[in-house]
Amino acid sequence: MRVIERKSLPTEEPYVVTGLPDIGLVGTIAALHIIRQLDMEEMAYFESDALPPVIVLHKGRLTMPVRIYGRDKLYIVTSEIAISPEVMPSLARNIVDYAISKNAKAIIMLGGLAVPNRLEIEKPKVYAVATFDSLINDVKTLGVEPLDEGFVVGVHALILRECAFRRIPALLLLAQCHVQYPDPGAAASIIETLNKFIGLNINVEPLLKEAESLRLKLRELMRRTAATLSKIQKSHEYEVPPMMYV
Amino acid sequence: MSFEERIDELFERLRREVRRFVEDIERYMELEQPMWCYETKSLEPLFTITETEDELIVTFDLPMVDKDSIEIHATEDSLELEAKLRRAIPGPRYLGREVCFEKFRKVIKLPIKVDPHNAKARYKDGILEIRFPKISRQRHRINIL
Repeated sequence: MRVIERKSLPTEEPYVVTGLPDIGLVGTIAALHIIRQLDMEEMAYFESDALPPVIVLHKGRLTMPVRIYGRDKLYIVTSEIAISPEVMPSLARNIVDYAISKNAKAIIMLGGLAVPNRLEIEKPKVYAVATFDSLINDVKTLGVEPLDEGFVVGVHALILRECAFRRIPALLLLAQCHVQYPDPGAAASIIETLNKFIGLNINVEPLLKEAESLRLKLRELMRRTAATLSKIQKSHEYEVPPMMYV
Repeated sequence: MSFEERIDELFERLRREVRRFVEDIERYMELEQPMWCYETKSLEPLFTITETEDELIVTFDLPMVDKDSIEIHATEDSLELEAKLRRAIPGPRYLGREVCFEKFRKVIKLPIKVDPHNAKARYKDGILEIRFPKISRQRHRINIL
């Protein structure tokens, strides 16, 4: 896998944010909304023989399904296709390499935390996992709770592992969400946290207004993502881990 | 725990594993099916099936649907759902004509036998949840008169 770069931002120390298909498509929905609201430009795309033979048409223009957008001090990595387990390790490495090449301040991953009682939750809470304690302390002041015990599974786990190994600041933000249904409410919660954390001002009202239409449009991607997650036993995520170190 | 209870528990675990395996195969087969039907002008909703000790819970994601336009019919081992969309949704062109989808429609074969008469349903934030009591699988001793 390699990143084909079309443009680059002139900024120093940008944030690299990932919004990839995962539980509740929280990251994907959040990324889509941020890209639209900030009118972000396509900067690069991922190329690999391991990616499915898919090309996306937007307003008659051909684009690749896994892309990077940019504006000001922000890059966003997103995908319009489910990421298969086979592709995850090289995608994770390429995202980290890309962040290093841009001298990124941190990699911030947006994702969902499946909760069985999501219907009872009016405003989903956001939790965090990070490679450095300092990042956790920063988000704690914003009302984000650290996730103390559990497993992280999938592409986020691989990015975290890569970042921990290479001493890169990485933060995983997880909003409470439905397991197998697209969850724009959770995406709104996570955008609000991101707004506070990196000083953005993204309005989530339009996202909440078009929530139903998004849920309708994202059914196919959700179904394919759910099948992938089931393959990598994503359902085990955030379960209490074995008491190996107690 | 008695010997019989242990055997029951073992069989229950085996049954669950086999069901999970079959569900995985079905899910991958379903991935090849489109989530719409031009003939019936219907969309297929996302759904999940979960189980507790005494209930089978089926949920559907039904955006753009009002509670009054949902029709549910169930038997001991099947569930049929039809829900009219608030407005017709234009789909991609099909054989040179535009087709609008008017409803969600799904028929599900339930993985275990349930009691449809005592099922309870609720609809909140576009998500329909139906809870079926399981038909008891407990063995009863029968005396010979």
